[in-house]
Amino acid sequence: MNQHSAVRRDLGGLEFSREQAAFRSTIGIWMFLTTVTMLFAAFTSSYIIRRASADWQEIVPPPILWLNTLVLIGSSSSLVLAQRGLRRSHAVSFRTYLVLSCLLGIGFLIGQIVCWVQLSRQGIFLPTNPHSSFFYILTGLHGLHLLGGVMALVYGTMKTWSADSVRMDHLFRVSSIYWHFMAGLWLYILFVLFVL
Amino acid sequence: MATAHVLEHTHTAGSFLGRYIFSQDHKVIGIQYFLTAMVMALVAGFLAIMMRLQLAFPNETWPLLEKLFPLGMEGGVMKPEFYLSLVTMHGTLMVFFVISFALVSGFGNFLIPLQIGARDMAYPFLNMLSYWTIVPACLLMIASFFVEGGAAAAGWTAYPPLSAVQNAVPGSGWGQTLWLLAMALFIVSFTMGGLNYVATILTHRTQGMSMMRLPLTIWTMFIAAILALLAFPALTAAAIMLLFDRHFGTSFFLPSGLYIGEQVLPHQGGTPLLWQHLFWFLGHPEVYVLLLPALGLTLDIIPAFTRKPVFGYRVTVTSLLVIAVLSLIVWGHHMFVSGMNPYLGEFFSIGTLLITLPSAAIGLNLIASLWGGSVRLTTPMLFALGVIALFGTGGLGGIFLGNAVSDVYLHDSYFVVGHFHFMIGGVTLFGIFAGTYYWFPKMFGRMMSERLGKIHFWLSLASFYGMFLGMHFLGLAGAPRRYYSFTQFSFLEPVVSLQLIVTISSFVFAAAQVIFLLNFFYSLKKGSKADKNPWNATTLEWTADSPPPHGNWNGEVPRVYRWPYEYSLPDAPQDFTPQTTPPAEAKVTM
Repeated sequence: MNQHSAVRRDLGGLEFSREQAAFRSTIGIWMFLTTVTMLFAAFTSSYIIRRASADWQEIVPPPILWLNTLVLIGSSSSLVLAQRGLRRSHAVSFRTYLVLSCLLGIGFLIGQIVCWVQLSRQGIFLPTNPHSSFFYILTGLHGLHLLGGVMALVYGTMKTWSADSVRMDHLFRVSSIYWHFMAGLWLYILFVLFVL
Repeated sequence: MATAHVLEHTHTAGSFLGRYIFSQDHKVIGIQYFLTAMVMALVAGFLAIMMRLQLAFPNETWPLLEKLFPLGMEGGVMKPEFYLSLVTMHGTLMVFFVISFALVSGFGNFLIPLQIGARDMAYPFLNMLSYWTIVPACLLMIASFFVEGGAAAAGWTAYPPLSAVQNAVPGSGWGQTLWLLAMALFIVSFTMGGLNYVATILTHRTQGMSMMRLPLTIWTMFIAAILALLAFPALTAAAIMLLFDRHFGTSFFLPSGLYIGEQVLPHQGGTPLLWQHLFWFLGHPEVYVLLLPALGLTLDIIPAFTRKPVFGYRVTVTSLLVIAVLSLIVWGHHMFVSGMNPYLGEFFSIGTLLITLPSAAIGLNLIASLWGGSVRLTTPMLFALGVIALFGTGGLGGIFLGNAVSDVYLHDSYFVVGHFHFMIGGVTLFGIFAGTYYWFPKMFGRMMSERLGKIHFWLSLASFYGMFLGMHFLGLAGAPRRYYSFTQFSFLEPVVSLQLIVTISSFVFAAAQVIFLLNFFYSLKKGSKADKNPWNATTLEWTADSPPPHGNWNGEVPRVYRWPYEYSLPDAPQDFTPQTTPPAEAKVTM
């Protein structure tokens, strides 16, 4: 009862069920991810057009990029395990995997910075050639989006120790949708930059 | 019991700061947007008047204006580069900071919860954040006039290389940087608003309010929000790349071998056309983001003053959806002269001409909504009729511009300027005025003066045609846009007097808006008190108090039993049947 009135107050007094409130947050996150998709779609088409110029030179990414990729996939997988822990009401495995997922996410971001440092040591900077420009901008934008996701996950992790489980439930569901999307987006960016 | 608990909670109004400044109440936020738009309209309108002064009297000096802009108006004479700043900032402010604020953010925030039967938006905090993000954006835009080099001067479309090379024209320096930052803030804010609109409309409708019982205002806001969410990211991407070109030496938009002064630029391999594609991928849908809500307001206002249902509700909804989809794939019609492949041009032409079909369907539905009605020519109704007139006139010009063959001649001429002012200037502005006169009693609990309103309407309509129909003829005569003086062209001598007519019309138009402002602020204090439903209308907002309290309805949120256009039902006790009337009291038609 207590939890339910909390939800109702939050929604301004409408007779909202928990499912409807969940629907609202799902709509919100998917609409936001739609705009993120359009942002990277715009960059993709720019990339394809720009690549046709004569000054295009492919850069070779530092090997740490592939390690980072594994770390991010690991983080996403760990979140799946946390979700399973939550579904089975297994608090210990839920919290452990959630913390692991956060740590791996932060690890990925640090790895990306190391990657930038290594690349610039090779003398490849942002304006060096169009491919490096796209590399820095796309990885940078993805990193920024991921940073938001990390903050949501850390916030969610802290919340798992407090009692407000209805809100937590939404927050966790929404941030995990976002997190998996970011992992998928990373694979897509790699595909655009080095396969396409 | 739960509801009582909630009301108790939401009615603790809080301090002045929480209630009126950092408010999370959708109505306060809507009105904040509306008033901000009013301030920005004064700025942007003033820029337009300065442009018109220059064009009609190119040899005069204006010592007073020199005091305000000592650099741009040195010696009282307008510098050409200052004229470019005026053009740029007038366009940017009017499109994004006036029309968009008043129409989409203002009326959208105010009306969506009230018309769908919700106590507030889905994410009230995000809503407040969205308003307070545009405040610094407005300040940055205005401040840009007073930085070194003055405001941005590359047009509201910010085409490179003018916008990409810092020393191309004076406004390409600081002014352009501030322009980009302000636009970035605007996009962030608009995205937050759009998410809120879509989530609210999909999840917060009251019982019985199915999608096909939504007022058309809500449909147009819903579609506009989705369009904005899909289209704005293209500009975000373009703006990011432009910032990097300007400040970090990349070459996305700058080609090789570009000379500025005597110096060749280090950039190479970029393409300015890429910017045009990205910009117009936003720019064209943006037209519909602004246009559709104006049509929505009009479609909701007309039935209240014809006392009959709106004509062709389902056809209108379908047409709106078709327009939305098509608007995303026709951006190339702004670029027919860019050297695009004629076959590609043909694709964009056909797409553009296809849009005339659903647009004509909506236009015909507007006209048919009048047919056989007992028309009452109140001020909101007059402005609604004005919307129909401008939509028809502007749409006609659009057919010529959408066709690549005639556009090659008319491109970058005053014909284009006239056309888009009819559409995103006129239809939207008259929609805003219709909405203001109509919903003012709901917003502030008082009526606006009908007499002043009618004077405002007739002066505005006549002068509007004087300005922008006049520009169509200037364009046909070959007058190019963005030129700051036409005295040197013998082929334009026959139409010199037309420039004067346009300028005089613009003065009349400005004077008419002063009457509107007087009416607005006078009525705020002294207007006659409005009751709940002064127009005898059917939609939900008229069941709330005027102005509605925090939480919109005292007691339960109303339940809906019918569609929003139940006028003149044969067996009903009154000639209007509100959406809340249960089927036992009057037959439900939809």
